Amino acid sequence: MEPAAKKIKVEDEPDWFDLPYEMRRIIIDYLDIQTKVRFARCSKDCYEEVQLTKYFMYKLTISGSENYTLFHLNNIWSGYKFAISKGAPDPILWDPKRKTIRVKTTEELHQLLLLFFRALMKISRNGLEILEIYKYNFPYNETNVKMLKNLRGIDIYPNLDDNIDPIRCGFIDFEQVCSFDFTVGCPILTIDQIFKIKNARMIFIGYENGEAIDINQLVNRILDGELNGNCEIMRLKPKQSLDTIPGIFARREKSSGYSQYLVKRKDKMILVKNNPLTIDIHTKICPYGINYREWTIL
Amino acid sequence: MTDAAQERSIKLLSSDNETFQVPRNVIRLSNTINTLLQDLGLDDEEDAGDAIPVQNVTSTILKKVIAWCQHHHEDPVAADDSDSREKRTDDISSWDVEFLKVDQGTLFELILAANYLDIKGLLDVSCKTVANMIKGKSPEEIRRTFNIKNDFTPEEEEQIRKENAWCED
Repeated sequence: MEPAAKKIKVEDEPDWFDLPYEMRRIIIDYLDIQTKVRFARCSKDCYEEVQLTKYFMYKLTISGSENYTLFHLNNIWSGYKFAISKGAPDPILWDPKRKTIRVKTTEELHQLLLLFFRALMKISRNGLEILEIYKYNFPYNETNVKMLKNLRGIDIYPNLDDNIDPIRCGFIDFEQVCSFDFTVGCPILTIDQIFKIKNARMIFIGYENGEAIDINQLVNRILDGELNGNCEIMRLKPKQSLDTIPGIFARREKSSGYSQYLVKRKDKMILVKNNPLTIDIHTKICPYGINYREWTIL
Repeated sequence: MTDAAQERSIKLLSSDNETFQVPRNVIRLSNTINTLLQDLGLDDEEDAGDAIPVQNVTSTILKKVIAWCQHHHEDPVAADDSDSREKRTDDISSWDVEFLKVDQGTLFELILAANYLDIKGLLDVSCKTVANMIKGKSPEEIRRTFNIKNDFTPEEEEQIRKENAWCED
């Protein structure tokens, strides 16, 4: 037989934490995302438990009007949105200034939606929680939901390039989807320029005067509080050594073979991810969002 | 299962030593009991012998569990749950809603008993009921309902509130 059930004390109303962890997880899984957030705000333990449920991570809203569709994707760390317009008069499909991808027909719109959802599904895996889809051309009905679910596991292909029609090329990953909206320029920003940017959630960082921008300097300036804008991710390419980053206090090895580091100073925490081709610095990490059991404290 | 097997009954002994005679086809909803009877080679016996002790499940709760199984034992077997299946809490039958109108202590005891006896349907419906108790409440109301101590500083609370403002609309 299984281990004996725990005895609840019934003299008063029982506490949430009288329930075993597995039961609490089942219950949390039944909560909609707004309720999960309210529950997470109850206490630090509640916050951590909600964080451990993958379903918490994303909220996707699709809205729009006759002429455009607005995708709004949020997770606990950040929000992303971009628009897809329909029936644009010119053949330009991607307008970086207006941050829109234009499509001419409903079929193209559907095709683009497919690519978009494939990208989301691929990245978020089971983590995507579709809360609201309301769109004149894409109602949240059984057929469409089934189609979305069927997308999981289908390979998609990259080669995303400014010169290639984005409808035909697809998206390699979620961050590239996001980067339509929030990547700033090309990687020729100086370090001072990087810290002056106000309205970009993701900044691609490359060289300054022919030299790769030093990650240690970036980390120090972030932890010194110099980052006043909205930047949440700095993506560095080319890669450089992470061993000398000052103030690393925890590390974890991902199954992919790449390491991640937590760097903390006073109330500021950043996460440095070693990706296959790039390094990502997540600049706005909440200490309570971290499941420390996964980390080796150094 | 044969007719004879369906007519058989077994005895369950609650933690406070009350014995319940339960038809075998009713308690078949408990995977724990099924496994136990199979492991002991008693599944095909006319007389399953002594009462099976159901540790830490009181007679009050065991009685309710049996009542639930009695009502649901002829339900069709539910399809396998998958991760992609929508997590709904508005699909509780009116009988179950009435059945689970109990105090919080009893509800939690039912969850534990359903988990211990591995009765998936009862576990699901009782967990959904707790989820429904959380829905629509503010963090303060949730804390009060479940005796959760707020250990955030006001600054931390504000930070979390800001982080999650996006989905509070």
